[in-house]
Amino acid sequence: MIDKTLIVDIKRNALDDGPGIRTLIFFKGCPLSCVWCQNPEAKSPYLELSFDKQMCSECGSCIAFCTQDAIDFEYKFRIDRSKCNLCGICVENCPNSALTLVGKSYSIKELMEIILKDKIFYDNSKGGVTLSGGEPLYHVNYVHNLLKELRKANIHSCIETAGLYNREKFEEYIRPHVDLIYFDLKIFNPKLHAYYCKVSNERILENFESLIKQGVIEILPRIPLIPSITDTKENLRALAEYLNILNVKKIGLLSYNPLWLSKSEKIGIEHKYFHSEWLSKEKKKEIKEIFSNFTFKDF
Amino acid sequence: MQVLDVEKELENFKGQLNLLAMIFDTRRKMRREIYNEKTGFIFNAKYQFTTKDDAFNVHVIFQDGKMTVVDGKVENPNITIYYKDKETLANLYSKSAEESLDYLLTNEMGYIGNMSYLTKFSYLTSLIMGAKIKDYKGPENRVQYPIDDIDRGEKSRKLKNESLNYKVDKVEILEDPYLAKYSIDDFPRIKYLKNRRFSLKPAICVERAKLVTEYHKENGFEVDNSGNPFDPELRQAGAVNYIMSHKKPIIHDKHLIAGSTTSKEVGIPMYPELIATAIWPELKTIGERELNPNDISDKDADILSLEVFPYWMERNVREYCRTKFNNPKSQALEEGWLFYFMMKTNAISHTVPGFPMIINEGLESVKNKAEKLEKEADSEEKVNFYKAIQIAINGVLTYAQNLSEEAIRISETLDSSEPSQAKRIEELKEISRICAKVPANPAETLQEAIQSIWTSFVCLHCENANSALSIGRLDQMLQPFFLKETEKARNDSEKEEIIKNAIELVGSLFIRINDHDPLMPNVGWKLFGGSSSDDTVTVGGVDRDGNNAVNDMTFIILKTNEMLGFQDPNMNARYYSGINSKEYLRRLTEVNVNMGASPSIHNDKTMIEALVHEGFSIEDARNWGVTGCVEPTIVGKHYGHTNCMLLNLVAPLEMALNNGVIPLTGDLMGLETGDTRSNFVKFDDFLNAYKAQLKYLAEQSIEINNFLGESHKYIHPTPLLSSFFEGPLEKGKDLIQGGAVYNTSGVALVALSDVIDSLLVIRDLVYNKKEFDFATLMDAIDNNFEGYESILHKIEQVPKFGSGEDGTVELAQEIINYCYEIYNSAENYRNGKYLIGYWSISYHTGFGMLTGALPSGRKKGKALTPGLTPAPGTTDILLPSIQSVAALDYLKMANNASYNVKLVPHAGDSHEETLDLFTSYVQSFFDLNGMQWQFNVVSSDTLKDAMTNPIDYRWLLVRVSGYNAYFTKLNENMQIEIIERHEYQAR
Repeated sequence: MIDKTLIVDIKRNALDDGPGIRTLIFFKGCPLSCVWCQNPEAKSPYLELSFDKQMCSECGSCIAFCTQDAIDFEYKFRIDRSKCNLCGICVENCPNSALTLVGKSYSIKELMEIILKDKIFYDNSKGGVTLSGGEPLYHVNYVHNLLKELRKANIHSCIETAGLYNREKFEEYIRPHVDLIYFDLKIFNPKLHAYYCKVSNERILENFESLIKQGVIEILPRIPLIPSITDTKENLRALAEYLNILNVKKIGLLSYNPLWLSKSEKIGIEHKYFHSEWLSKEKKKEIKEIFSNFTFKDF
Repeated sequence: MQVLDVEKELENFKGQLNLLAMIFDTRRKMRREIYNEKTGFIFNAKYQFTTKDDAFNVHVIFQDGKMTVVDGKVENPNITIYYKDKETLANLYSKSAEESLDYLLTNEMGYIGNMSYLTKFSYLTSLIMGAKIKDYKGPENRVQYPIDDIDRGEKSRKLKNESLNYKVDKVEILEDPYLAKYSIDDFPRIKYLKNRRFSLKPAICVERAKLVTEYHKENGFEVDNSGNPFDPELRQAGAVNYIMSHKKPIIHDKHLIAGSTTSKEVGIPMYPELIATAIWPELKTIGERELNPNDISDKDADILSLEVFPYWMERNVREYCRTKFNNPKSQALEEGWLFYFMMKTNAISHTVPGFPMIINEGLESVKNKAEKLEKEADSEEKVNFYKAIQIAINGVLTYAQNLSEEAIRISETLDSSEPSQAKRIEELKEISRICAKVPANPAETLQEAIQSIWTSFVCLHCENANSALSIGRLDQMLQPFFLKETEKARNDSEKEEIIKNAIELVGSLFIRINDHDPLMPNVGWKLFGGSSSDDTVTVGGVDRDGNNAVNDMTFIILKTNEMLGFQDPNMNARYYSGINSKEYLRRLTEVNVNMGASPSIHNDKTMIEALVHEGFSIEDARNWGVTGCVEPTIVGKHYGHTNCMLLNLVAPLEMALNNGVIPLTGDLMGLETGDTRSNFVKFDDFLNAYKAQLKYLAEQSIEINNFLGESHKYIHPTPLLSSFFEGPLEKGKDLIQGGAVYNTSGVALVALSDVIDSLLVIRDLVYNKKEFDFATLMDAIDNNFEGYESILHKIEQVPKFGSGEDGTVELAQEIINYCYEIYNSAENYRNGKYLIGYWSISYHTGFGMLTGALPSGRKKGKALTPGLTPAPGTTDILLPSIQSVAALDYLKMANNASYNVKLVPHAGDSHEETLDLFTSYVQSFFDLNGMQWQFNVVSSDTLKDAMTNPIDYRWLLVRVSGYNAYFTKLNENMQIEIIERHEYQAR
């Protein structure tokens, strides 16, 4: 049994990821590599050093304190990650909080302590806890234990998944203990999926179909609207048809957020996808028409 | 920059005084200000002008109509006006007279002696400087904006209403308690009158001031006409009777409720025995001032300056107190502006009279009771008191009769062949019938009950200043009458008419309640302000037996309040979780979403427990209504001057940091508790220094409150108000003597969060982590953190109150416990307890203006935090803020605590989702034992837009702290403070 795992962030009073007031837990690590990834800091399952250029006053104290010579003003993104041993000394000595370590190890007990603080809000708003990421199902055993604790505490649980998981394990360890699944469907065409997300969607769709057919727990398929990648007419129509055949009535549509870009640079990754605008009105209208047979929350 | 030639300017100052003297000699119109043949008033007075260092002295003597200016000092001046130094005097003397009070604030100027002499002198200077009233002859209110234009800003105010298709709580009649189908367009009379109220410029009404002066000139004040000491009760009863009998009975066109607090359609009543003389310097300019101008005519200004004010220069609560208690230090502290503010110099009023008793039994029965008791009384004092009650009640009866006759008189001027006038004639006849009946006799219909409340309210204001004399539990009072009327309905459409009629009548009362504004000198608006008279209405909660009290009228009142969107009445809702329905709480949230900031929602359970903890019986505690902002008062039994003082908790912190010296003036005002640069080894040493300063200041505030209370006993007893209470008749004592069943005084402690945050920073950085020493922190504070950015950065990282981090709530609780201990061990002048609360009206802004930088990182002059709300920027997450505030021991704050939350609905959320969410925040706060929740449902962007385009946002309501206010009427500092409050995005 794994008793600790890395968590990127814990967001209290989260309102967009499931019903009511929730605590949202971002797990670290994800098997997909979507080019537009909105949480790049949750991609790697390992601890990372993040550097925020905007907050830096170039005082140089990080350079002075680094024992590995891994930091220099000349380096691209400031840090030579091949030298860095993640000791965290620079983080402690940064006066502007520009350097931070991404990923903090939590035991289930520690996590539950934080979760339970807001129990009254979950109860009054019919909210609960949402496990997100990264990919929470990357950590099946840990999540299994956490879900059991949540059930014991009578707290509603929701998992946000990209769908790439081992079905047997899922059926044994996850499904009986979770209340709601937010299931991401990104691209219907397997080739395009493989191209943009670096893995095929075959297993994802099989997992999805299996869940839908069982009809045991509540599933909400969610489609991220990524300009020119997922929000093309072809893709959305194909997804709509697919969901129609599966007799799905309710979906989630996630509007693209152009503000994520700076996040990847912080952990030393050059961003490959660039689109700086919010969804246009016309495009929204077009999307709404494609999904006119479904109910969804305005986006 | 031109260098000021100080000596030359000082000569000019003397020259100006001499010019004034010459003008009195040569101009008769001016001379009457100091020697008035018509009134017989001769102004004999001595003024000393000086500087703090005594480097400059000149004095002025007024004697028998002559003014003389002399170098040097004079003995026993009526007032000494001192300036900070010669430069300050050279700079200030030529500034406009109405600004004179402003310099008191900044402590560039001060005075010792009678404040009325200062305001009079400022007025005289304003006259020679040519202050003139422009374009207003009176007496009607001027229209500021065309009535049709009023709704301009309303376009953006879209009311959203859910409906409910089942009855909840104790609702018996309403099929949809939410009353979703109605809008203000269904009530043309109310809509018109509401718009008319908004379009009129309030005018100063001198009627009461003139009558009260006339009465006393005729009958005496200190002694009666036979030369015997005038019993204050009899004197006051006679005055109040005289005012009520002589005041003009007014029934405004289209109104259903007769009577008015002033002779104006929208008026400012004056109470010269309280603070009216503070307005003296502005008499000629108040109509043009930038913030909230009030019209006054030349004739009325002359009445005040020549006839009214001279009579009251010594005979007011502030000056009587100063003389009687020999110029106490506690009063000087009050007049230092930034330590504490004592409401008693303005008013007591703050209470909830026993309106239920009056509408159900009638005033006649109270009078009969007093008459009987007079015969049985065993002392002259009691005999006089019972007599006084009868005299005062007779005044009410006369006024009601005058209203009844006035209704007939107006109806006779109308043409009954005109259909619209014929309808009005019928209305007037009904009004006349009702006024002949109530409040003397028990009310039997809804309209009679409302008229009974209103006539009583008007008459009580002939005695008591318009300062939060509150209506109380209106839904409880009116429900029996409403039910009785619906019994008459023979079918659904008749029932419908009765419901609509009830809405119209409640609306009519609310419009009447808006017929007056408080008198406020310009300096008051600048520093504080935005507050109305705060006539509060309370709905919901439980009844005396603990049963659900939410009824049809609760929902009717909420609906009316929502449609009108008025600041007044200040609407407060009690919510007893588990007894009142969730649907009711949801509706309270909806009204807030629609109105932006009203009603404030109280946790009935914690309030009742807090009151019981203070010794109130459980049945009485359940019958509480809100007074003023948020404070609990037991209806008709409890005289609790609930805002007797607002004490600035930051002032003792500044004194502890500076060894008793207050940085604003550099004067030693507190105790010498030690030098922070060397004396405090441990954090607890400093904490003890803070506690010592706090205790000192609190004790001073208690002393002056009790002195002012004693002064009220002589200057301003309240026989009429006493007759509306349970207790005074039984005890044979006026309320001011401790006649009520409960006799508390209510304290508001301001800016707790700023103190806690500062203490947390000192504890964490100076003592625990030793990041820097105290001396460095003091340097940073003295320099307003300029050049100390790295220190400021470290300060920002310290977990503050509201973050939910370990130790933050505990420290807040420690200070709360300490405050409770100090006040709880004191007794007020009516042998009652002091109850404490944490709310700030708008004083967090005013006190903030006068406060230097703080260890919490707050910069100099910035507003302090309102109520019990954590400082902005403390936490991005609403939940720890809610949890921190709710965790504080509510039993130690029976005078209530206000928690103000600025929440903005998410654009993508439906109305239903917004209500789901907001309601669950409030419910959770209450489940955690939080006391009171105030919404501000408006985004900072909207507020910024309102600052730029005030015309479009005239009716934008915001919650300041406790009370709500029209945003565009607030001063700029307050507007900024509200914008900068932490805005919790619903995402």
